[in-house]
Amino acid sequence: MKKKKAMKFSELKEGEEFPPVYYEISDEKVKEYKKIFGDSETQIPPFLCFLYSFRCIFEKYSIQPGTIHAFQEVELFKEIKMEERCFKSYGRVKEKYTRRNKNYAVFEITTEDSKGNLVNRIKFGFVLPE
Amino acid sequence: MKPGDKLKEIRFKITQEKINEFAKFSGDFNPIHVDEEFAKSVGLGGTIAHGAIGMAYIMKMLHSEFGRNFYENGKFIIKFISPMRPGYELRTFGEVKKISDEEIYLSIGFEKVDDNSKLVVGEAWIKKGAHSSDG
Repeated sequence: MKKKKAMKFSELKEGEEFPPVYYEISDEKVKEYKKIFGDSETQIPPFLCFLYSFRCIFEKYSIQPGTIHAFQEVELFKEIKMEERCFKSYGRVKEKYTRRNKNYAVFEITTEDSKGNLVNRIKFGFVLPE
Repeated sequence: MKPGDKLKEIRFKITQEKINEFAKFSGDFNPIHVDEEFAKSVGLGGTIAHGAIGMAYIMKMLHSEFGRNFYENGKFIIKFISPMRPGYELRTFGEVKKISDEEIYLSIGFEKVDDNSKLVVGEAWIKKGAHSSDG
């Protein structure tokens, strides 16, 4: 198993890319989501896609204890039908900066369906402990 | 729909059990969420919930109101301004601020039920698409 690097502010580079990960959302995961959030919707919640899409970053980096999720941006482009389960997600370090002595790293992840259609794009900011 | 209209709130309670369940579900076992002593050692005063839990409820609120159109033409930005702690009773909020020919603009977030203090604040934009009447 490939050893992951600890995600450190000093080592992240703006523009650094995370190669695509391919995944299939399982029935089991949909059921777990509905159990936790009491959801009754009939389509696959895009939130589930986000969880899987993080893998493109976490294949390379492990999150250090103490990392804090500071903000989140979400753009949705396509409803996910139950029969559509296969996706591709890839990402990059959009920017990094220091504000009020806190080190922020902003990541962007884009997800497409198996036909290459844009499904969603998320941006999120982490405050990194080192 | 008109400016000033409020979206139907969703109430939810944060418990350590829910946080643990979400950690297992997401694979995010950052000790600030699941280890009380560690969370105290980094100045958080105790465990805090994953921000993503709150995000899921905000998405649920927007989907309840705008249906498929949210999933195809929705955008939102939220900022986590104060942590969600075990024991907190929370409710989402959303208010229409402006409506143009192209989109509906809202303020969104969630707050504590007992004192109305806001933990997450943000904005959402729902483009008027082919499915604006769904939901």
